[in-house]
Amino acid sequence: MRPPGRRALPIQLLIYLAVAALAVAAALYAIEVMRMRGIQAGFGFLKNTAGFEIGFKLIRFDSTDSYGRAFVVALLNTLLVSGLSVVLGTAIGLLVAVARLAPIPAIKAAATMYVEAIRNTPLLFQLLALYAVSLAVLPPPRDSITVVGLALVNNRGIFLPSAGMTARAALAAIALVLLLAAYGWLSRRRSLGRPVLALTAIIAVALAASTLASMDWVVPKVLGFNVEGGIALVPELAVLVVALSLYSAAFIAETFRSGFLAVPAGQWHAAFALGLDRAATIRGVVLAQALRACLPALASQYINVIKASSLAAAVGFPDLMQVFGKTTLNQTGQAVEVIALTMAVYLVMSMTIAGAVHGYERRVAMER
Amino acid sequence: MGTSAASRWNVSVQSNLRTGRAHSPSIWQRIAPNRASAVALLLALLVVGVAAPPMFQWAVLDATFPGSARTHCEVRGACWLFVAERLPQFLYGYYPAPERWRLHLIAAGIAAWCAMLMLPAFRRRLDVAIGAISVGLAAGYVLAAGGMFGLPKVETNLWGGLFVTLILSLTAMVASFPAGVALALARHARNPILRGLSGAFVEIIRGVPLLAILFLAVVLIPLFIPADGGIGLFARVVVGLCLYASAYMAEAIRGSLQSIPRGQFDAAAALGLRYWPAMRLVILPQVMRRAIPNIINTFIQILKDSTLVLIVGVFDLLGMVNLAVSDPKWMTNSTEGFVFAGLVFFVLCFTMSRLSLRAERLLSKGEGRVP
Repeated sequence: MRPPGRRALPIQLLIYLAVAALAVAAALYAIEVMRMRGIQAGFGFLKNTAGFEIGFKLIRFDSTDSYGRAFVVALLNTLLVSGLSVVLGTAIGLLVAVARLAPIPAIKAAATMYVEAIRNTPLLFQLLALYAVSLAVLPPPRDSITVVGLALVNNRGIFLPSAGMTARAALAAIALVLLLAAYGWLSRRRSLGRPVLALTAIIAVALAASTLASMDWVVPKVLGFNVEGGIALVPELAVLVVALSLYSAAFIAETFRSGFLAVPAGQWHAAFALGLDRAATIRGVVLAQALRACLPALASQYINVIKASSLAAAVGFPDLMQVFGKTTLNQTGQAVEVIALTMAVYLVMSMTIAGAVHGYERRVAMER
Repeated sequence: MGTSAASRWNVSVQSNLRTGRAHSPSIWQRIAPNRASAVALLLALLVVGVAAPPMFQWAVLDATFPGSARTHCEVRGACWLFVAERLPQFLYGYYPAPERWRLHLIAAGIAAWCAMLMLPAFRRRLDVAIGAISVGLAAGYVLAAGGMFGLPKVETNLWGGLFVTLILSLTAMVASFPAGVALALARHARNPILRGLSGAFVEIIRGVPLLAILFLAVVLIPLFIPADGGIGLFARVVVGLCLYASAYMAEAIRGSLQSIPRGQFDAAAALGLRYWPAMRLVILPQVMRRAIPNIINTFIQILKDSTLVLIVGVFDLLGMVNLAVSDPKWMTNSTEGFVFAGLVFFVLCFTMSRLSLRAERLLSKGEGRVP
C-alpha cells in the first residue's frame, strides 16, 4: 500500500472544488427560495410571539410568550422525559441483568424472555401499543380510579395531590434538615449509641409528619367531565416514560450483563471465600468493577434514551421535537434555522455525555 | 432404552462416590438445582397459571375468527375478524387490488435472493449478492411504481403496509453497504480532509435522533434541490433513512477495520499492492467477515427504526395498524391490531438476531486458525 501518488493530488483538489461548488450552489438556491417565499433568514424569529399553547410545561408559558421561551419549555420537557427514563431504565435494567445471571432457571428464563421480546420489536410499536391500549382500558374522568382517596387515574392522565408550602411547614422542614445534619455531623466524630439514634428517629418522624400535615394540600376532585386541583401528569408523559424505560431497560440489562461477565470469576470466588453471600458479593465486590467495565456502553445507551425521547412527537407530548421541529417549523417556515437549532441541541447533549465519559475513562485509566 | 434412568443415576452416584467428582445433573437438578430455584419455578408456574387462562380465553375461546361466518365480533373476546378484514391494508397499504401481483412478484424476487444466499456457490460472493439485490431493488421500484412498459402508474402515496416496511428497510440496508464501507475507509484514511468530513458526517448523524434526520430530509430537500415537486415525500424519506443507515453501518464496519492487525496492511504493501487492490483483496474480505454480526445488528436496528416514517406521513405496517385502530368502528380492537404488528416485527427481527448469533459463533470458531 503505497501512499497516494503525486498524480492523485490534482484529481483530489478537483473533487474538493466540485463538492464546495455544489454546496455553495445549493445554499444560494435555498436563500433564493426563502426570499421568494418571503421568509426572513436568521434567528430573529425567536423573539416573536409564539401564539400557541403548550399542554405540559415545567415553567410558566402561555400563547403570548416568545418562540425562544417555547424552546426552553420544550427543552425542559425533553430533559424531564429523558431524565426520568434514564433513572427508571437503569433501575429496571440492573434488576433484569441480575435476574439473567441468577443461578435459578425460572428467573433466568423470565428475564431472557423480557429482553428478547423488547429488543426484537420497534420502540415506536411499543409506545403506540401502550398508548392505545392504556387509553382504551382506562376509564373516563367520571369513573376515575381512586388510589387511597388521594390520587385519580383516568384516561386524561394521572392526578396527584398538590402541596402548597406554608410558613409552618417550612419551619418544620428546616428543623428536620438541621436535626439530620447535626446527627450526621456528631455521629461522624464519635459513636452516639442506640438511645440517641432512636430519639433522633422519633423526632425526625414527628417533624416530617408535621411538615406534611401543615402543607396546603389540594386533592384532585372530579367535577363534571373534568378533574379539578392537584398535579396533572398527562397520559402522554406517563406512557412515554414507561415505554422508554422498559425499552432502554432491556438494552441496559445487556450492557450490565456484559459488564458483570467481564469481572473475573476469581473475584466471585474470593468474595464467597470471605463468607459473603450472593447479594453482598454483588453489592460490595462485583458491582463497582462491572460498572467501570460497562460505563462507555452505558453512556451510549443514555444517549440513545435522549434521542429516543423525540418519539414524543408520535403521541403528541410537547418535547423539543414536537414543539420546535413540528409546530414552530410549520408556523414560521424557517426550516433551516429550526432544524439546525434542534439538531444542535441533541448533538450537544450527546457529545456532553460522550465527552464526560471519555474524560472519566481517562482519569480512571491513569489511576490504574 | 436398555438402561433406565434410575440405573443410570445409580451408576453416576456410584462413580461419584468412587471418584469424588460431580455426576452429570439429572433433568430435575437442571430445572431446579436448589430450594430457591424450586420456589421461583413454582412462583413462575403460578403466574403463568393465573395469567394464561384469561389470555387464552380472550385470544382463542371467546374470540371471533374470520372463518366463523359471523360479521360482528363478540364483545368479550379478541376480534381477529378485524385483522382479517384489514389484512390487505396491513400488507399492501392502498395499493390497488388488481395491481397487487406486482408486489407478490417483488416478494418472490426477494425470497429467491434469500434462497440464493443459502447456496454454497454464492455464500462467499458478497459482491455478487449485493449487486443482485441492488439491481433487483431498482427493478422492484420500477415495477411497483409503474408508468412504464404498459404498466399503470401507482403513486407512492398509495404505497403502505408491510410492503413499505420491507422495501424501505431493504433499500436503506443495501444503500448503506457501499456508503458505510466508503465512510469507514475515509475515516481510516491518511488524508485529513477526507477523515474530517466522514468523521463529522458519521458523528452528526449518530448524535441526533432519526426523527430529526427525517424532518431534515422531508423539509430541506425541496429547499435545496431545484425541482418543483419533483421529489415526492416517499423518495425524501428514503434519502433520510439511507443517510441514517450509512452512518451506523460505517461505525459497524470501522469497528472491525480497526481490529485488523497492522501487519495485514504491511503485508499487502510488501506484496506491491496499491491502495485499492490491497483493500479489495486483503483487507476488506477480513473486515466483512468480522463485521457480519455487527452488520446484522445494524440491519435489525434499521428495520425497527424504519417505523418512524409514520410520523412524517409514510404509512408502513405500524402506520397502517395505527391508522386502522383510530377508526371509530375498530377503536376497541386496538390490541388485536398491535398484536399482529408486534408478531410480524418480532418474527423478522428475531430471525435476524439468531442469524447474527450463528455468524458470531461460526466466526469465533474460525478465528485464530492457521490455514
